[in-house]
Amino acid sequence: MIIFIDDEPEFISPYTDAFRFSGFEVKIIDDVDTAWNLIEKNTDEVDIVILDIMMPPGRLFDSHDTKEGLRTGLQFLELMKNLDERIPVVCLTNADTRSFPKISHSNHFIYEKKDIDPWKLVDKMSDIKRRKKI
Amino acid sequence: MTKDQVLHDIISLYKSNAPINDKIERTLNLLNQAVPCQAASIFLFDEYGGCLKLMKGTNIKKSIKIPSFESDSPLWKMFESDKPKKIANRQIKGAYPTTDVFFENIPTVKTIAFSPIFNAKNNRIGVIRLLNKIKDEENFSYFIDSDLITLDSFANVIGALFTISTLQSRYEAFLDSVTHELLAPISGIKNDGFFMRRVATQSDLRNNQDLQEAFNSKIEDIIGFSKQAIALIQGLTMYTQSGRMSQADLILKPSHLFKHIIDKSRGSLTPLLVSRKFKHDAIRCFNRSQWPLLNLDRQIFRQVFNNILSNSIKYAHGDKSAFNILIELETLRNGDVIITIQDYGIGLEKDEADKIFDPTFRGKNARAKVTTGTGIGLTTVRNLLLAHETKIVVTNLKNPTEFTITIPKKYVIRRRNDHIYR
Repeated sequence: MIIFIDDEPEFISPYTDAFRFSGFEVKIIDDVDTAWNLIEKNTDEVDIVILDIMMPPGRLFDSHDTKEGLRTGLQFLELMKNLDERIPVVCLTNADTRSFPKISHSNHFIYEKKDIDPWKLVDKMSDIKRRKKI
Repeated sequence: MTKDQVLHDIISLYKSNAPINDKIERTLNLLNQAVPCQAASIFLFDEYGGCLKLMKGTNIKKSIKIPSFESDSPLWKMFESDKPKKIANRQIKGAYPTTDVFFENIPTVKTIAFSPIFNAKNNRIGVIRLLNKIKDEENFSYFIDSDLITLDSFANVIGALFTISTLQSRYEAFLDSVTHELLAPISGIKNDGFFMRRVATQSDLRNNQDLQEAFNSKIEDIIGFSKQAIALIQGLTMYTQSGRMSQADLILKPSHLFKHIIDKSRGSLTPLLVSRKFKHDAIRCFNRSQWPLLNLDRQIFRQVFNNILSNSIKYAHGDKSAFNILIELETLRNGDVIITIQDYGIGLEKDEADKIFDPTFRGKNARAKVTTGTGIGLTTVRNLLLAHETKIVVTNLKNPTEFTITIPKKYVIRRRNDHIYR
């Protein structure tokens, strides 16, 4: 299952549809609280998490420094690293990622611009999923 | 170190990206070098975080004159959130009757007192005192006049630098928001194009109904996203014009147009409602048939309602099926027309009602809920309505949040059978 977490799901339908028509099971969640609840309880079923960065912090990150929501996704990424480093996470964002912390320790965590060709993202994720299985 | 060198260092410091705490600490240290502090220097932060003013006079008790303002300064917020350990809570006799005095040792300066002070109107005013040795609370006569002049001019420089950096950061935050708001629909359009190109060139649409539906929905998305991007650009244009718009700029058209305005706004916001999983008919009108005819600038009022309604939708929460926006028009006895717009969204806090129309305001609840938005929507609304001599106020904070717009009777078209005018 591929989980998309984005508070503006209307803008990511090209991605969710491209994954769906490529044979992936896709789940779209528009808030971090629900998303974390689902992932934590179904870790084994989650293949990849595709994560927006600028999102409302929800209850989950109420007391965290999300820069008023501008960096909520980065906090979520940290949770994912601690939960299970084997679940790949793609931070799909329109924000300028140059100021973001470098993700160097694993190919499982990547930043992608939100204007990447949806089919290219599908190819990339298919590769990651294949490698993960090996 | 000469005073010129100190001033130069202060300017460099404020041009740097040093954290605010460092700036404060190093400023105090530099000031202490310029004017070895014998007693007290006082700086006030104005509502924009700048314009620090030194309280002049060798005897504070006699010279104190505090202007009326609330401090919204980042410095003040820092003091509020990170108050130094309270070692003493002393009343400085006669000078600041409502002052709590806090002390903390900072290595570069011997002692600093942070002192929240309330003026006659009970507004808080941020104050730093740089203290070396206040032993005698009755006597503050340690400064010589040249020290005061130096500190005063330094304080003005620091105030100006603060103002510049505050404006700069607001400008950058605004550009960030606009960029994000514009990139979202434009990237959406681009991605729809990528999706459709692959589908059109590599798939047989006729044999895959699902894919055909997805393809068609992308066409609608492209139209919707384009409208959204255009609306944002128009909103920005309107914002830049709205501040200087006057009655002479209005293009008034008498008609049933108010209903058309609402219908147009409802139509253009339906995709947003649907995409956020609200009911497509969540925007409702009361007593439409009874609505008076108004003589208004169509473009301006469309922008006004678009901004108000889209704001309500963006900040809506809770049960999505129960979310409604209710619009009602009512003619008052004096002939003015009031429009009320109620929404069951995120609500406002008591102290936010007056500030909601300020360009950089974002409600406490909104901060936690929504991150995007340029923040200029309601400012534009207020400015545009002012050109119509029309007021907008918040008449209820939450459940529902209610805006009331009062349109003067000169914009109301008289009807023969209208009982008000009989």
